[in-house]
Amino acid sequence: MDPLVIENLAKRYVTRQRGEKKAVWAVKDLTISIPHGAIFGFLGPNGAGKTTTIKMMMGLTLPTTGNILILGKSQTSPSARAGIGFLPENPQFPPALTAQEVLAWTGRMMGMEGETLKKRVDALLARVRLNEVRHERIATFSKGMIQRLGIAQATLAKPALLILDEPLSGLDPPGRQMVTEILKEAREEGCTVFFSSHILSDVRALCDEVGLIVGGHLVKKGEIEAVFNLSGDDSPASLDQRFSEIIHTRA
Amino acid sequence: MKSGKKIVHHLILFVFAIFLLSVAAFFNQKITDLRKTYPSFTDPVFLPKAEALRLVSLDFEGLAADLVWIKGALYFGSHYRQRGFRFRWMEGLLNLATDLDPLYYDIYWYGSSLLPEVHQSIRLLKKGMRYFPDKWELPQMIGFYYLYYLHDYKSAAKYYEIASLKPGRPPFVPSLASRFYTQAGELDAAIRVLKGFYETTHRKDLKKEFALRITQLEQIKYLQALVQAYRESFGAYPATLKDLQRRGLLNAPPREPFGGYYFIDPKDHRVKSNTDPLVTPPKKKDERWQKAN
Amino acid sequence: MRKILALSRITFLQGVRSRVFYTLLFFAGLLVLSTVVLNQMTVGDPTKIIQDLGLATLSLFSLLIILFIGAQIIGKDMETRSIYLILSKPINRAQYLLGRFLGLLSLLYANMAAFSIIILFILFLYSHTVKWSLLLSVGLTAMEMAILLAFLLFFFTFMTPTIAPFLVLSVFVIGHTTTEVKAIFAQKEGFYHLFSMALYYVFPNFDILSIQTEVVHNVPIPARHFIYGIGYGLALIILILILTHLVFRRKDF
Repeated sequence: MDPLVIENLAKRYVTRQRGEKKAVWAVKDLTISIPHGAIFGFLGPNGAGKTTTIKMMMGLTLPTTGNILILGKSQTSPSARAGIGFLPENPQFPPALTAQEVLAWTGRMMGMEGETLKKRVDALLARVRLNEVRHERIATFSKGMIQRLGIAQATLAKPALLILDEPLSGLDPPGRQMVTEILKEAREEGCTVFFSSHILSDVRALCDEVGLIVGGHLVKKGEIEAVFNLSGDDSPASLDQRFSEIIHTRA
Repeated sequence: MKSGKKIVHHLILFVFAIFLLSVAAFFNQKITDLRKTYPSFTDPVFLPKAEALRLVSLDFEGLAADLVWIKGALYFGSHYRQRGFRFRWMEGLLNLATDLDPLYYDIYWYGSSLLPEVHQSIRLLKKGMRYFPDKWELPQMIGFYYLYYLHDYKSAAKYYEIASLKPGRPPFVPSLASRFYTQAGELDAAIRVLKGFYETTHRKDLKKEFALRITQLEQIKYLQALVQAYRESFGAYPATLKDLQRRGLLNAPPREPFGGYYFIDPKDHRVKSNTDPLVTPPKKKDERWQKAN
Repeated sequence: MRKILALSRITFLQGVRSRVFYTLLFFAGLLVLSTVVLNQMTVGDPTKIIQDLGLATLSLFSLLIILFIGAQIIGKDMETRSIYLILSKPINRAQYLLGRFLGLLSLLYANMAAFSIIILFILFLYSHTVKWSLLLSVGLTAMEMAILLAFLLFFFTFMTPTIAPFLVLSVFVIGHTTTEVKAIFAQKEGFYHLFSMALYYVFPNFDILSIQTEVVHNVPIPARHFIYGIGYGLALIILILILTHLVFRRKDF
């Protein structure tokens, strides 16, 4: 079974405007299956439903209809999350804690302990270049440092599935390169990666397959070249333009 | 040179800051002085009801009582030198504090001496007696107030007697109870108190003394009855015991147990002993006349 | 269980490192020390005001810790993405609630223990005895604070972070006045009577957990009172946490 299977997923929000109830479908009829070992890019403009989908996968939001199977288990079961490494968009770590404490806590929550945990924490802090600041409070961290810490905590327990929401945001070029390398290394270790982004050039460098979501609907899925009609020498600017064109067509 | 300018700049700022602080202090003092001319509101202008304060104190009524008691002490302290100050709020404050925390003994004990009128003090102490039924000090203090300020021997005796029944009271309490009863002319009560104490005490010396006192009082009671009989028979009170003897009502005066003698007080026609410390025996000249007669 | 403890541990760390916590601690310390000055103004037993004010300070600052620190941590969870990094771990929502609850509770109790020691020490300086019975009052107050903490979690699951602390404060005030209100309206008929009865039975009654006055006056408290108090508190806490979970498990983030 594929590590991530989404079937007919939908999320409806009901709002009140001037006393009238109004229903908004943030996600409608989403069906995706990500094969083992793939890096899947979930693309779409702001407000398309990417984050909502990811929140449903992580059990943070309850779907209105549909199913999500993570590593064969329903997403509502906490044990499904034992195999997931998750990084939300703009992660908020407790500012009073240190990087070391956050990673140690993450490991304990994932069932790690003792020497194994200690070694893994040390290795990751070195990998994301936070070793020198491991005992500093997160309140002193820059956005890039927080993002790197986020990647570290997501990959700490060597998960079978990585779910990342805008993992490259806030990073400088060296940071982006580091994260890209980490994701590729994860894939080589047999991890499946699902990440969302709205920057086409980042996705192109990493993904085997992409899905394009617009207005809550999955409008296209497949290899990125096919989905966006790309040629080998597209510049990032022209990629963005291609992206905008497709979105406006579909919107 | 640039650093020189910076120093000057900082200096100017510093001086300006001092100036502003001085201005603030000046106005502060001005208002403080002005305030002294306003009517004072440090005294309570109104007292909340105990239930209201209890509600507001959110189960910290002990603390609320403390604060009211402090207010009472401050109220007293800030005015006690003013002659003629009426302390109209004092009883209210102390009642409020003891309503909030009835087990606050210190308020009854010390507070009673801060009240301007003796009846207020007595009221407060009586309230305390309800919550501290085993404390002899409270009724004893009430008795003292009746005696010293009101010259009411009977009430004083009554409260000293109540005190004498409490555990742990010293021997002077029942002793004074009987003396005050005697002064008030309540000989039966005086005897009762002494007999009660005689029965309960284990001290031999006290037992001996009280036995003698009981004898004395019984003799006085006997003599008093004769005085009354004389009055009824002859229409006037006898002046001396010898008058009783002359009229055949008395054979010989009984031997006063403490070595003194009995006489009839011309002011109230009561038989008294010269050994009673509360009694003023007749002058020496009268004494000889008494003895001779 | 391990996961609950791991979460409670970082909750404790978050609280203890908070600047608000140290500010509260400082002012509470000042208040307790002020008892040394205040007792000069009373006549009679100097230890009474130390005990009264000490116990009141302990209660007040425990409440403030719940309102500020609790609100800071839980409020942040509910309103920002900080909870994502917790709920995305293999824990269920009940474990989250328990972990946060126990973490804040341990912070609260550590604080209360420290204050108790300070108060007992100051009393010792005056009376040369250790008044252990004060700890009975602290014990029941600890139960009261645990109930309020449970209410905080409950209100935060469906109220905004600005409203929730006020609701907890309201519960505190109602809990301490409900017995009085009931007594005041006992004789009246109709609306007032019904209202006071409703308040009395719906809201917790903190009067039964308040034995400050008795302890200060050395009135002997039977062990039963203490046991009943613990039982009362536990029953309420479990009930409120269950209700919280019922709401929280369906909450969308």
